[in-house]
Amino acid sequence: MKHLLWILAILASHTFLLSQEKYTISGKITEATSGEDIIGAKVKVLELDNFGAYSNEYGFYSLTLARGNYTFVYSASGLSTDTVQITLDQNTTINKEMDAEIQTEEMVEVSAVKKDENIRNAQMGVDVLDPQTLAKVPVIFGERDIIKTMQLTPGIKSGGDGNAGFYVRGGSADQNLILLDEAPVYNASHLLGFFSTFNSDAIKTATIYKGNQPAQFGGRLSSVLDVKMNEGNLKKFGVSGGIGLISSKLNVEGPIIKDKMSFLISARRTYADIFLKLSNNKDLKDASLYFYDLNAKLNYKLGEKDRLYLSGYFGRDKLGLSNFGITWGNATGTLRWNHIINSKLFSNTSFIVSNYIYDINIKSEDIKITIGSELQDYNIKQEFQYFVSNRHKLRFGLNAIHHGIVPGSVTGSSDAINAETVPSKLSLENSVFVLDEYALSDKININYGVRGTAFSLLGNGSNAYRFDNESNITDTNVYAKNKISRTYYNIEPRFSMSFSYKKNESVKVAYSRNVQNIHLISNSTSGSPTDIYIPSSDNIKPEIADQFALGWFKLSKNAKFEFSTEAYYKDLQNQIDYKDGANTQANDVLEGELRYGIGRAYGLEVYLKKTSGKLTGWLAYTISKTERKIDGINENKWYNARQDRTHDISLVGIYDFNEKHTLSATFVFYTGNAVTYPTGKYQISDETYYLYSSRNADRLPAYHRFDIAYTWVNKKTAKFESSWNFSIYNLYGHANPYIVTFEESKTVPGQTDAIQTTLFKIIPSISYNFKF
Amino acid sequence: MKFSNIIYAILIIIFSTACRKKIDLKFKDSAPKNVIQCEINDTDSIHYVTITKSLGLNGAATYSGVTGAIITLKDQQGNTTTFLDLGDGKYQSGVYFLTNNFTYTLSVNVNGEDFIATSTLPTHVNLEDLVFLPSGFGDENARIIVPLRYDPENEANFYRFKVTINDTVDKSIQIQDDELSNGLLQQQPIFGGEFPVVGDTCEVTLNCIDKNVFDYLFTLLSNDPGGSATPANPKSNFSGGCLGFFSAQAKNTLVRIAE
Repeated sequence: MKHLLWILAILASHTFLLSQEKYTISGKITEATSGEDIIGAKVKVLELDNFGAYSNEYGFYSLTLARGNYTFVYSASGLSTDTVQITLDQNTTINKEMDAEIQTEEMVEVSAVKKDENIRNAQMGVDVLDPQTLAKVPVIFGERDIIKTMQLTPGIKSGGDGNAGFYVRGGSADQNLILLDEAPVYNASHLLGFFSTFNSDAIKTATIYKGNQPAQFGGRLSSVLDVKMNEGNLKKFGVSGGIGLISSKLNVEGPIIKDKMSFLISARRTYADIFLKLSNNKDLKDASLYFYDLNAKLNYKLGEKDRLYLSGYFGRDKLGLSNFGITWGNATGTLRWNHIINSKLFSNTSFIVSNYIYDINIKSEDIKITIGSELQDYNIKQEFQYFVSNRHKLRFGLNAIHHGIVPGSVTGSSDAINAETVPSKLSLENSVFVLDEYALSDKININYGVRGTAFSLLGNGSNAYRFDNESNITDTNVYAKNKISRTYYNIEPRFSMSFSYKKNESVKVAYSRNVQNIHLISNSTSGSPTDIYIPSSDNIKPEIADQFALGWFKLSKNAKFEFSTEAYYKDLQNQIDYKDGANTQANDVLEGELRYGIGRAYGLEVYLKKTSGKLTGWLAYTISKTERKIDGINENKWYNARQDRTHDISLVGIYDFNEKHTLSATFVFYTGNAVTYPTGKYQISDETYYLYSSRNADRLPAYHRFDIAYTWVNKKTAKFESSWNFSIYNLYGHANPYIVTFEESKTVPGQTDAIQTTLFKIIPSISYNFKF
Repeated sequence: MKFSNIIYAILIIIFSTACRKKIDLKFKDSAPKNVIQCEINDTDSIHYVTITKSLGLNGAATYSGVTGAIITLKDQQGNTTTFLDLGDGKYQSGVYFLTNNFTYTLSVNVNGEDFIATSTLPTHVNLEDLVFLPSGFGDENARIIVPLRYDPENEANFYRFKVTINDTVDKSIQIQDDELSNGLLQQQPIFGGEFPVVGDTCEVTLNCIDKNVFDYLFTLLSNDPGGSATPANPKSNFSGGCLGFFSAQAKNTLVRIAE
């Protein structure tokens, strides 16, 4: 580590040579009423015009200046601005507690500065969602949802009604890294996508990077959704909750030792199955359909310089009829230690456990079969943030993940089946990264970095097969348990730059390479909890994506409107798909059913936001193309990826009549997904089957929908707050396609009918939320 | 069994707001292809081939037979029979007995185009008994059929069932393998198109099939509505680019009254 520090010091040496009599002011910025760390608070130096720093994801900031008298202005969205005047003649620590906002002239000016951030920051393809915006956007069943709302921004496509996945810039659903307090969440959906696993009451912020993520993130090609949980109020106890038609939730937080230790527990449970009990249909009465989840966090200030966080998530979904059921869910745990080494060097050490399971249970009178799959990650991460100078901010660190994947084991309480356990696939993913946020001049900001990954396959003592193009086994090896049998090395450069050629306007360019070693193999229409994860292997090479992006950003003079447009081109290598007619059941020769190839995706995104005033909201439009070319599929020709979608439009409007009444609406329109329709029919054993030609050459009908929501804060005092939320999903009841199937016409012989199935027409919902 | 299909089915059942409607789509029709089907059995001495043409999606109501094909069946020792054209796409062999584990080659020439397939007659597995279990769905008297047989331990076996309930042939294709139950008493139920009810006469024919035929039928079935997102034509064991399959199969039948 010492060597690395040296190298970094040399990298930034010119600032060292120039620096004489410089001192550092650093500290933590927290919210006064709750003690929560504030992410992205700005510390501006009044004497140095535009100059300043932002607090990091743990509220820590550091600024190095020449000796002198300065006025520091602390500001953050929704909080009142505070000013500190000091004479800087030694390294100084100032921890700042910020109070809730009181609307002032100054405030307006400050928020304008904050908005400027998106123009000047070199980072591209990034969007931050805060809970305040989240609370107002209408969603299905009235349960506000980070992932659903994210899908209303450009470049991020929803999988459609009843679909768990989302697609970023042409990537498939498994190419998104979803992190909850740094722990990867493998299946971020409940109830097959109707809810996300993130209980918005427990969420502090969510940031999505659309392919040009900074080097501290790795392991997925398309995006990183970085979700941070609240820490728990250090000052006072609070309870909040909500009661809805099909779900309820409760959130409790408070200090264990005031200003030193706090906790947060947040729980949700849906009860859609209670309504099923009212049904006359026997099958429906016995059906189960619910999920529950629990978020918990403990945070402890060990001293001025050290802080421990322990956070966890546990969720389970149950879905089934009387003799068949599926259970699936995630569990994650993160233990983090923040340490301020000195005023310029910040350290974060994390131990992370992440687990995803599913079990399929089939039972009849004397047979009980369970098919199960499990994925378990152990993850150690050490990261340093080194505030070298005001021009350079370095981040560097290393990460080791042990993956254990059981793709599918079969157990049964019957003499009818042989228990079959596919041995756990073991692997080790080691990576190092370094990046520098470099302010080259007032106008140019550069983020550059590199990530190096070594992905090692560990033996598990059982057969490892190699296959030819005809799925025949060509080679069988047995690798000793936990012994490295093969390592894939990859270097991932990341670069982005912004050029603010005039006030409130900038252009940005970016290039990133991302590598993915854990692959989701999916063949179902809508992404299913039983899809199979497999690591890179002798047969499966690491997936690689190179993304180039170019963008133009503009903020209106009054800072009310923000406009941006980004174009991207993504080149994909080692993409995976099932061969035609693959046997998709998990077994030890599954890899023989896979085929490999390349992909490309390109598009243009337009984003117009109105961020202040009574009416806020945005318009997002994406035009794009996504294709794959896989050996042995579609006669080796390019074909549309399932998620290829030409047009995608989202319009979101939120109107605040006053503090008590808010009306919001969203409109969504997009081109139907690429699908394969039949081009003929024939008979086998007197039954009609369909003939297919090109893969994904057809389109589902276009999808569109209009939703509205109305929030009424009926009581708001210092001690108690309550509100009602009324929403209608798909107000004009448009029948959107879930799938289209084909059958012989019952009226016209010989004719084939295309039948569209729609999941949701109009869904009204009502929920009551409270807080005290 | 495909889990995504089951999940889909549960979704549709549970979300009773789900609705189906006919939509207008412009169909792209591909050129007609020959569909050749031939199942030869160890219990029969006369065998048949049918050849039809595929149709466009809004084609004629009936599939027309292809006549005038020249067809020969040959085993690995060169024993050959030629087929007689019965008209309307039906062809009949001469008297020809099959031998266990022999590989058979069917050569079909349609208007100068050659289509050739091979299939190996698998080990004969006896159907021991039919057991009836309550279906668990709908009618209390509805039953599911469990065809019991002992699976040979030293090989992978593939099974296809044909079910007739009260003289009504169930046209759905029912296949099973022994991947999870190699060497055990096979107890996997048949989930046919219709469930028999108590008192129905059930005739179940077990055909032991080879792997290529199993894979062909498996793919054909996985293209079923609501299943695969990327449907594809199954890979025929015929060379030459036609649809259909050739299967040499070991066959036996049991009849039981559902109870």
